[in-house]
Amino acid sequence: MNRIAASLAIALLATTLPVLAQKPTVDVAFAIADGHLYDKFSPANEAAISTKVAADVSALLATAYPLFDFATRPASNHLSITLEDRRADSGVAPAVVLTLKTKARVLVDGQPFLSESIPYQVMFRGDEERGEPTGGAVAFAGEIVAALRNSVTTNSSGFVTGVLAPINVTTEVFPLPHQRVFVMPFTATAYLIGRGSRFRVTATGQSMQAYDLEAQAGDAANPSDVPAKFQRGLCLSADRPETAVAQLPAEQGVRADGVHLLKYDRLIPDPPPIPPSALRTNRGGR
Amino acid sequence: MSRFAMLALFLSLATAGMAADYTSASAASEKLVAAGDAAAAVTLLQGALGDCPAGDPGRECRAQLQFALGYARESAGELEPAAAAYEAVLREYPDNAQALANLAGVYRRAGNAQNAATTYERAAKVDPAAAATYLLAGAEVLHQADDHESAIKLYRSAMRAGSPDAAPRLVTMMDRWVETAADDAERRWRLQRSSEVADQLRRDGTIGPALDAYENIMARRAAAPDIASHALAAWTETHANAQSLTAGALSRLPPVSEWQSAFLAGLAATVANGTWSFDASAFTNDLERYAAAAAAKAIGDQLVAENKPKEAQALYREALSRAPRPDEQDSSDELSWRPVVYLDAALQLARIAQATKDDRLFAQVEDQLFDQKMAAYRSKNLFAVQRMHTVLGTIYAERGEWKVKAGNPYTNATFQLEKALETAALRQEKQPSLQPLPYLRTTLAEGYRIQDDQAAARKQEIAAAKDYLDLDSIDSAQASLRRAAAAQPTPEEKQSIDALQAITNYRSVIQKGTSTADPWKSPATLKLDDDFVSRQKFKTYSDLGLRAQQLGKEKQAETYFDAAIVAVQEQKVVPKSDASRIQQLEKYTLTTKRKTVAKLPSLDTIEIKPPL
Repeated sequence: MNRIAASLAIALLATTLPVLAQKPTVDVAFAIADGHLYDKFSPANEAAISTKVAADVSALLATAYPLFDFATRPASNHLSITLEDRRADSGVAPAVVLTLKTKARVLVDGQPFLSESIPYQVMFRGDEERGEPTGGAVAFAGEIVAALRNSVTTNSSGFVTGVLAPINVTTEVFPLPHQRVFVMPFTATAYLIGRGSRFRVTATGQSMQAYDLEAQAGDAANPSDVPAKFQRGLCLSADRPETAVAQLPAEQGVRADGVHLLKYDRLIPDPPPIPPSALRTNRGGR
Repeated sequence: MSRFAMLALFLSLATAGMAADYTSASAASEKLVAAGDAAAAVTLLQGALGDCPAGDPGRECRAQLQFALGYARESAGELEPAAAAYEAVLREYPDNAQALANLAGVYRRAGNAQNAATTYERAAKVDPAAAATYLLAGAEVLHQADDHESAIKLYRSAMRAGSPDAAPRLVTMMDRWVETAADDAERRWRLQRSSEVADQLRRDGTIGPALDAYENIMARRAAAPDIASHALAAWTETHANAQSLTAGALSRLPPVSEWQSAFLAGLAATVANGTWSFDASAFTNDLERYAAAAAAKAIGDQLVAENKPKEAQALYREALSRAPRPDEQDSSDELSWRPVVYLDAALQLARIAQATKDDRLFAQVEDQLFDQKMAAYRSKNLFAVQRMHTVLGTIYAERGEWKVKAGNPYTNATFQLEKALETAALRQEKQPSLQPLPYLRTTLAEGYRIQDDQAAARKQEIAAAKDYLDLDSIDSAQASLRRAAAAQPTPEEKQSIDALQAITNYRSVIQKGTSTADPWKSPATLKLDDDFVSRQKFKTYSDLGLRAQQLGKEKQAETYFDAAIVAVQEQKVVPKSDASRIQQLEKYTLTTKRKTVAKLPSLDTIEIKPPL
């Protein structure tokens, strides 16, 4: 990490409270489909590839989406990545894809339920590159991670919608129904959530009516409106669908059952000043 | 350590005659600032500044202490004196990126967005390694100051410098800008600008943010229904060509019940039912026609994956009949750069015809493609001619049809692929460009082998190896050379193979990072053209320079980078795959102040046209 990045990280740490008591944790696992053209590594090398891909992808996603914890240890939410042929190409030399599936632990009517996402595919090698050598285990793992990094960089919205949206961020939400607002137990700066971020909020009214709403990230909650735990908390303003928002009861008694990330707009903090110890007059200066 | 302890330590060092030099003063001041005593830091630094030698010998001392003074002043919220201190550093070292970045930060805090952005841009120029960070910071300042047009430019510069956050932030800014419009007229104009930005993102291949931008526009469709309709067609085309047009993606659009759009209704039904459901008479422009065809082709692909070739065939037929013809697409600014759905659909239909042994279907597709090829010849559009020969050659190759049949010399892969390569050579002659086509060459070589024409196969494999090297596909180059070497080459071919093998070996070793030795000092006898050799030398020396730099061998890195600059200046055309190497050299020439910088090819003028 260079000095500028280190300074930035320190400045961010100073502004990251309050945070979630426990971020949703997602375990990451990788496998090559059985019998695939690339399913030719020794068991030891295959294990090395799986371990490296899982670890590097966890680190990559943790940086890209700070609202979630990604780990290689078992967790309540699972992300599986499988290297396989694209089925749409059956009959000809198929492209090779990475298929991502999320299994997320959610509550439905108060009962735990495992919600599965629709498979999300990332191009790994086109039909022309299919026959090219894989190289050693480390190089191959690196190529897989690079393909996923490219996907996250160029189509982050698709990744959020296709992979992260099923995961419940928290049920610890303070509703302000008269304002059509749900207050989160963390600040926008804690997880770098910009105002372009959007969430899906599932809620239940006093009469047990269910609401499925979309909400935009906004300003921090007004301290007088909310308990101490939610002060400075990120406010989500429900705005879609308009009909459901209009029906949301204005009185108390609304309960949030789940919050899911639909769109992530990264908050860009102002760069902190570079300290004198990082000054280099012999580089780019003479 | 307390303020007093720090000062006492500094003074005791000074009185003891020890080296209480400027670096110690700077470090002590930083600790004081961290302890919350910026005022003491300022006092300490002002005293130390007086001890700097006059003139050039004191340059480093003054710069370090002024920088620390700027930092202390800024920490104390004294922005004007902080700016003055950073400017003092810049008088000593005008291109110091850190002083520029901190000065920009002071301007930002003082609310001077224009100066902040300009200064961040200067910092980005002198420190390309941190350019993405600085340019994004500049764009954010302009964004917060509501200078949207300037912010658009800087976000785009940050994107080019490699900032992954720049495009999403640009999209967020555009949406907020539309949201805060004072009236409908202003909102409409801002939506139009958002639409232009979204189209540019799409064109650049920044697909995720482009889709977000189109969705934002559609969510605000009431102010400008026509702009929202364009966004819907562009969104559909983007998803279709990215193979991500699914029910999940559609759920991000306004519901059909809330938006009376014939196109949206057709799209939703096509995705849900897997059958063509667009009302073609309601298409209002070529983009809608193209997007509907692209959607049909994409859903057809999904049906093939579900093993429903009959349903897929119906959609591919619709795509083929509705899509703009290749020559139409070529002549439209809005469509020319997008994938040619007509040809993709034809290729898929030919595959289905082969898999289902449907000769009638194949004959129909074949006729249509030959008609289009003739149209391309008539309009003298060499690019289209090459493309049509390539598609026909690919189709025949997949069917294993290599030889002349029934007296017709045209309906085979050998003829079509040879013509595609001839046309590519003709284009290259007319307008110097580089079109590595290794896939076509290896496919054709395979056809020659099937026909037992080993000489022609060897020729194509050797040419393919060169093309692969131009594209940095070292392993594939090696595979082509192995095939050529195994097919009894002539002595002259053997020399070329040996020379290419030597280059491939050097590049493989460099790629694996096992050597930084100069391979060109003992070159094999090169039976290769000069321009190709220059290109390979450039790639080799650039990569070696980078490797040497990573290993801390600065002197060696300089030698290699200088050699790379000589090699690139000898080249007629610089391929697109060398863009990052050129950037690397630019960074090198800037940081070392090499005079050769002006002679490097501009990234804007290097060959970027894809072969097909």
